[in-house]
Amino acid sequence: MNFSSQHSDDERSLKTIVIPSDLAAAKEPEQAILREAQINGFSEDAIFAIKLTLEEAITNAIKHGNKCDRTKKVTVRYAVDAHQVVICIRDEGAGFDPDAVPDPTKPERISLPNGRGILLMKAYMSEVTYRCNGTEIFLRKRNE
Amino acid sequence: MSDARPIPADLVQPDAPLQIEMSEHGSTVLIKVSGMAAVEVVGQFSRALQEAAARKPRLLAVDLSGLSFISSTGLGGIVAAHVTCRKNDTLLCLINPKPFLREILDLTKLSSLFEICDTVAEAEQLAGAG
Repeated sequence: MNFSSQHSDDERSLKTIVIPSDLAAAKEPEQAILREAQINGFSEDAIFAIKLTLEEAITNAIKHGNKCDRTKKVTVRYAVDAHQVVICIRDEGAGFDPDAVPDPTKPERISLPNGRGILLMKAYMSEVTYRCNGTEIFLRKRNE
Repeated sequence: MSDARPIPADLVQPDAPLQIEMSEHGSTVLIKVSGMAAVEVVGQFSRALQEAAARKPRLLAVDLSGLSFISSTGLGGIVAAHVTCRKNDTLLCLINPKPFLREILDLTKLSSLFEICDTVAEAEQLAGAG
């Protein structure tokens, strides 16, 4: 199965929460997804990984995608079952090239702010894929 | 990730409030942080670090033993304080971070940037402060 069809299958029954570009509003989808992950038997390690990733991804959508413009929304779609958590987060910004984000661990960049969030998401999730010109991120955490 | 990393049980609950205490003794400024440095409150943490760094102590000790969550935004606050401290010849030292935070510091290679000590006394010895 290729990536596209696998994502389509995963996304057939996603729940949707739309929030304004307000960091405090990020708690609603975060709490909803974490509760479902806990109910479905995800470990505390996995729940930590999902929480950290949601903070990083929604913060990026609000700050870098929507530039904190409160007229723009962030759409969080998700599905949780006993095997995996699937999350799609979309902003209404201009997009970006994720491959152009420099490696934040290089000695010459270690004191600079950019790139650590993406690095952490990739480290803690089973899959991280940017789509739609970087305005949408697809995240998967398998229950292993 | 690592099997040995104990995770706070309250991650699914609303975030534990972030608490920050700052004290000064001798040439050391100590900041004690507890709770969750979630993104909507992490500005408090970054401002406290900058305020402490602006005092230009010999040692800025940041006690993270009670911190149960931080994201890259909070890490950025520590890095910014570290840059300020370096300009002022202040040693910024992280005290007793929990295993989850040590793992994040290792993943981001920030563990190579910061001094990390188990106790304030150890940090004071390192800085020649007291």
